Amino acid sequence: MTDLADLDDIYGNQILEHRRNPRNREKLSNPDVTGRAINPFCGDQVDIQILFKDSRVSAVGIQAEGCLINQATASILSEFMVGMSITEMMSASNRFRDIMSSDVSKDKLGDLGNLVALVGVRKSPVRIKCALLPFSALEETL
Amino acid sequence: MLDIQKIRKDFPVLGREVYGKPLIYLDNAATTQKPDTVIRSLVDYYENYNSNVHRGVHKLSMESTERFEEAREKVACFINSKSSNSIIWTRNATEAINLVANTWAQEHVKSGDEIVLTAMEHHSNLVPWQKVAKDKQALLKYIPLTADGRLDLTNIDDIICSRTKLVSIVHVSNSLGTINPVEELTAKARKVGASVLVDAAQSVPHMPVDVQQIDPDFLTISGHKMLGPTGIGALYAKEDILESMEPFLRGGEMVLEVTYEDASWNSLPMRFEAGTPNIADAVGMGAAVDYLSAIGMKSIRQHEVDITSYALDAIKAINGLDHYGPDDMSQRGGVISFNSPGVHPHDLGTFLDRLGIAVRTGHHCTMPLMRMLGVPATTRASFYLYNTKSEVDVLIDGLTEALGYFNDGSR
Repeated sequence: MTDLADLDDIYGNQILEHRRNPRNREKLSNPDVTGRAINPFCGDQVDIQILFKDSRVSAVGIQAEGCLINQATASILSEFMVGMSITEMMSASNRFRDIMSSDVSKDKLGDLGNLVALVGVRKSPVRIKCALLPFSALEETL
Repeated sequence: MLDIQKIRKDFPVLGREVYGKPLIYLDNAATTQKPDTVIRSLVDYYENYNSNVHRGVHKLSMESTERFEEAREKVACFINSKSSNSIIWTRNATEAINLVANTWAQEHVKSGDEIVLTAMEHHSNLVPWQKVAKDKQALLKYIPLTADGRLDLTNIDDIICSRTKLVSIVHVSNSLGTINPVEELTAKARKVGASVLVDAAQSVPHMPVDVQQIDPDFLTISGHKMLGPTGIGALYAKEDILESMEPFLRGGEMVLEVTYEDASWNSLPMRFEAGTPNIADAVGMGAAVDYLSAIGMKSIRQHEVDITSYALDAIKAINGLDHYGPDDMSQRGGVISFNSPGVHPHDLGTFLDRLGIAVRTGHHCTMPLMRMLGVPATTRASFYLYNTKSEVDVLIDGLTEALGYFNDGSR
């Protein structure tokens, strides 16, 4: 058996679990805003619909097509967003992008919830864009 | 039989490790590794006779001109061109196709004409023709594919017809590995008076290619896909056609006489090589041709047939893996594209990468083909003269392990 420790950092258990049981995949029929992001190089695509109540996210639909990291990120993000205001989402999105493009240690990530599971993707720099695609779709809506 | 272990010693990079594992380089359809003779030819040029070609009266310029033209001669011989005047240096095969699209096609393609391509074209032999078709109100027609990724020639006589001006087809598909019957299609084009371009970027490096036998008007070659440096390629064109064509780029070197008002064109091949050419890399491509010729293209092709059929059999035996392209090795080059419905190619590629295996994942610059196959991307292993069956074994073990890893079994 190959030593897969390095791969396990990229494909953590939480990531694999979200890919197997993606959350909020169903398309919202009456969203307040929608967004779409496409990576033309790999063909991956993310569609997102958001419903707000009292200026906070009350429901999310997110459909990610493509690789495992993209799909898992979309699923984790969709859970993370619920209850957030637009400002909070923008701040989280910016922070996540900063963290993915730096080598900040895990314990300094602050309140990024389960998105922390994606930090291991930094070990394969060419795949970071896969984790950022759902955020691009989110930013399209803001 | 090739002495692969001896050949491998000629390629410095094959000795390196990635992630602590020996490099297994199976991305040869994207670019090939370089033997030390090619690398040394570049160093030798810059260390010993770096100088601009043509026009120079000094020793270094004469030497660089001689080596530069010698390299052209080598490429001409390699594809059995009657004359080295038929070889125009370009940056790559893409530029060679663009040269034809921007000169010959601009002059000859008229409204209502048809340009015939195949459904498996690389973007390089597709996008330039889309522009020609738009500019000239011409029609692009595509030869369709069979289920196993060969050209479907059932209605070929309706596709290549009296309206056809140009048939521009890939010799060996970089995505499917299919070897197309370019000789037969050239003959069909001739019957209706159409011209022919063969994109030979994936064939010239891997099998004997004879331009007198295939008889196209144009044939395009890439240096870095045949052990040469990046940034150098060539357009082969029949001499009389080149003579009748307008220049592509204009400036120094390509002119005969220039006044403030006008200019006349230099003779072939310089007419199509404006500006200082890529001298070092042309010399390097010549060295690559020497290396391939010394081993022999028939032997290289045979080795690729052996290793590809070995890999194909093993891939077919893996449960849950689809593969594309023909199974008959007489119709397949050293390329195998495959997919697992449950595992995205990028995830598969990342897994294999960690085992030291370099494969390519993505659309391979054939987006319309991927769409037709109904997949976003594929994983592609492509072989060359330095690959071994034991490397294929590692690939197959890696694939089996990866499918287990992602499809839940082993974790």
